[in-house]
Amino acid sequence: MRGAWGPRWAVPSFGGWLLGLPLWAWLGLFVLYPLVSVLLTSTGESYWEILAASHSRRAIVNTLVLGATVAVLATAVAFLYAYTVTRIDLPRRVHRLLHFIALIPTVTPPFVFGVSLILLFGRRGLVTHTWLGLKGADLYGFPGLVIVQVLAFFPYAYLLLRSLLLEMDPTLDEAAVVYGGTPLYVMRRITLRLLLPGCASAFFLVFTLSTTDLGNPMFIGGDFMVLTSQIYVTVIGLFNLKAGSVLAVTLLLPCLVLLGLQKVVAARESYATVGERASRPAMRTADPWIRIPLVALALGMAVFVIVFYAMIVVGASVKIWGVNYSFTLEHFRRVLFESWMLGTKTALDTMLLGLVGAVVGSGIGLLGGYLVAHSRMAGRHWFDLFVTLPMAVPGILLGLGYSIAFNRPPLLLAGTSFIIIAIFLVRTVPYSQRAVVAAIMQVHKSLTEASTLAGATEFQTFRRIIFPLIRPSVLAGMIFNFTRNITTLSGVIFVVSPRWRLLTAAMLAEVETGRIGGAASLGTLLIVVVWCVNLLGYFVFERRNLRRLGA
Amino acid sequence: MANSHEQSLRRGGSFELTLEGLTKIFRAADGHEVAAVDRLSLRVAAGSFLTLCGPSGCGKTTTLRMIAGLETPTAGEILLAGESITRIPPNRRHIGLVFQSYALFPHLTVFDNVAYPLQVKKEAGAVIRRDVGEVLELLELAGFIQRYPNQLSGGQQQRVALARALVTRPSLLLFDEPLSNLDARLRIHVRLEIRRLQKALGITTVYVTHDQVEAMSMSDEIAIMRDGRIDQIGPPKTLYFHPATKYTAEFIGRTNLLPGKVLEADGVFRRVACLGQEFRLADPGAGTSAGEDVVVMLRPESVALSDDRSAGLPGTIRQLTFAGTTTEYVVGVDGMELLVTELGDHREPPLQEGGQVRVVFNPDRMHLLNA
Repeated sequence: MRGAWGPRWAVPSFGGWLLGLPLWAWLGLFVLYPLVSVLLTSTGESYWEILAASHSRRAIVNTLVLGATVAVLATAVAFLYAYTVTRIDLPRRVHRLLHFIALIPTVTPPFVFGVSLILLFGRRGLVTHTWLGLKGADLYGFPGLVIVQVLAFFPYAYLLLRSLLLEMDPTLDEAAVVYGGTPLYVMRRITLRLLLPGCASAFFLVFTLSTTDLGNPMFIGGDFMVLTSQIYVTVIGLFNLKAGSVLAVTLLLPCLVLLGLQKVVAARESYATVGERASRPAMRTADPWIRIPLVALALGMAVFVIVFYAMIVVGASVKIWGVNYSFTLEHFRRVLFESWMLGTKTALDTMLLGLVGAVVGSGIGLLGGYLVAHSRMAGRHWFDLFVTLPMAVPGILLGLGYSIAFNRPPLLLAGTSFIIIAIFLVRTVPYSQRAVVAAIMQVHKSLTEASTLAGATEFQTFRRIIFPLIRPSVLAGMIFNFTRNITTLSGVIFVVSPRWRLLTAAMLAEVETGRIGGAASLGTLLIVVVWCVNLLGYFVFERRNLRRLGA
Repeated sequence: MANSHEQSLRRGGSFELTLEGLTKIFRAADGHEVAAVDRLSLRVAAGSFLTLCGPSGCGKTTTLRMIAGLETPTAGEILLAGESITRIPPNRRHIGLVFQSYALFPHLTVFDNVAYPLQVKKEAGAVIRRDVGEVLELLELAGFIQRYPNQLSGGQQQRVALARALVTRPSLLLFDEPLSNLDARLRIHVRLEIRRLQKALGITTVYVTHDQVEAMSMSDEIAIMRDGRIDQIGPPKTLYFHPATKYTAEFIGRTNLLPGKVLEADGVFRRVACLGQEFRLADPGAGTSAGEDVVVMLRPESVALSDDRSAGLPGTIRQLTFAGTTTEYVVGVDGMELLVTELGDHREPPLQEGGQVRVVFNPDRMHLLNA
């Protein structure tokens, strides 16, 4: 209990306030003000009228049905996938490969898979048109969305369940087997049972990801309108800000409910994570009745991910999809160099703004995380709550808030790069701050105490002890921020302008005009950038860690 | 005032530590207030070694952390060399603390860990190299200066932590259960090492442990703590042979506590009845009036086992444990179980579990406590 929030003498409240003041100001101006603006725009007499309209009701039902379906399927797939990676007897290399493939969708914008679905199962898709010869058949709408979203979002659930499986005390499984349980019985009665709270969290997570996804419903939703696509059409197509706001606020409701439920579940049952990380790996089963179907399923998912991924690159480099499959770089040339190099500028803008946002976001996260975890700043718990609140706010709601709040005095920011960076920050600082808080908590309290007793001031302790120890997670956070910044669509769709364009928004424009080859080449570009940055970061860390260990 | 005092402390030497009515109240999550340390007062003579000893939750670590400045006392004063340091922040107290977890900085080498207290004070490079070199020499760590903490054994990490605490010649040295992460053999070695260094440097030292053997073997004085207060304070021998309370008697060493009654008392001697026998004692303990119920304390080594049918009381050996240096018996006597310790195991024929023996008390080692 003692010292859970850092030492009592650390940064006294006055200094904390001084440091925290710009953060509070930022919070008020760029988080609360836009949200309140949407809320105010949405309220009024016609609120219920708009909500009761048939297309609104249909969008709400569709959103919930799609979210629930995707969440159930993705969680089930994720559990089996995680079980395969952690509990099935396979060569080490296979485990690592499966794990690596599952990471791919987490650094890829989800709608990239939507573009792949068009290429594979669209009207002129490789499977539907070229191989099966079906005329005008496609998988758009509900089935396509389910496929794509499961593929794009199951890795998030997988990562969560995998870490729980790794943390689980291996002696529990061992005890269950020693007392006579068959592998299948142990998996059902012990492993899965202990993992139920984790599965619930995974379900909520995927549900949220599905309901806030804008790209896929736009690309492949067809007539199957969900809240996000309905909001987009209402605001951009019908210029009806009020109706858009009503729907956006409605979208917030399930997100908040799910966040609450997740907290409740996590608080009620958390024995799966009791204890330290296991010192030795859990038993791995070689029982063919479990191994063969699970490995088949995991490999199938992995192949699916790879095929969908590769399809983007292929789609970007053939002449006319479904008609002429000969190689060309024409799409790249067109999207990058035509219209006065517009595409090149878009790509450079994206990287520049993404980078600035990532660095500034990490800086704010570092300061905020330090104040929350290691100071006596008055109201720091509230501060933590407010900063992390946007995690539950759908990007499209935030983006709409920005386009309303900053399109008028006193803060006329529409059309500037600043508004885009500001929205990047709101969407990344929560994660940065949480990561910094978690990293500082990992630094044993006695280290900072030892530094203090050695005569160091608070600032010296931060600079010489805390910061060097949390630097890897700050840098990792920066890469995460950059990835998130340049792959978001729903957050920025309402704030991009002719002066500042972004790759994701440009992709949407290509799809909307039916230029699937252009969309695929922009997608390829995005993927290449993300991979370069992530691999660069990976190698820098690996090298550093090796040097640290003296190996 | 505080500044000049700080400076004189910084010059090194031996200082007397005094705690006056030190109190720490923690507020639990339900708003309930708990006094972890309750009006604690004690004095540690300059250059001496005091151990705070007690079960977990007795307040010993909280007391140590208040001395270090890591916890703010709710009330009371901490005085070093007669002047209050209660309100001096921990980074200016000039105190060395060896943590239970050692708290070595994992990203710094042995040299940089030990140099850290000098570096943050912006000492000159030459001074740093000289002082760090000296203390590493003293602790036989000179060969490890470029290593990182995770490349050292537990005992070496321990010594680095000690070197870091000593490098600035602190005015006070504190230890928070520093040996609990070492194996038994190393523990004995490090125990002797710490005591040797402390005596040589003459630094006033406060040591916290729950291990009474550690406390006994190192300290000039031991303070036995209970519920945030001192139950008894004194040299190890006094606590062992003449504890003031049943709590201290049971905490320090193993002991037999038997019911007794004072039959007769004058200024010097007591006549006491215990398990149907009568003893004449010259003990300064409790039981000053005739007819009073008392507790008779007898250490296991003060009870002897005999074959002589006329001596002592009849008993049955319930359990026998051979522990190398000693052999320990549990003997049933008159419905009670007594602990008996004998040196070695040279009885011929050996005693057997279930065997009959006579149990003889040594009245010179009997000590009376309040019932």
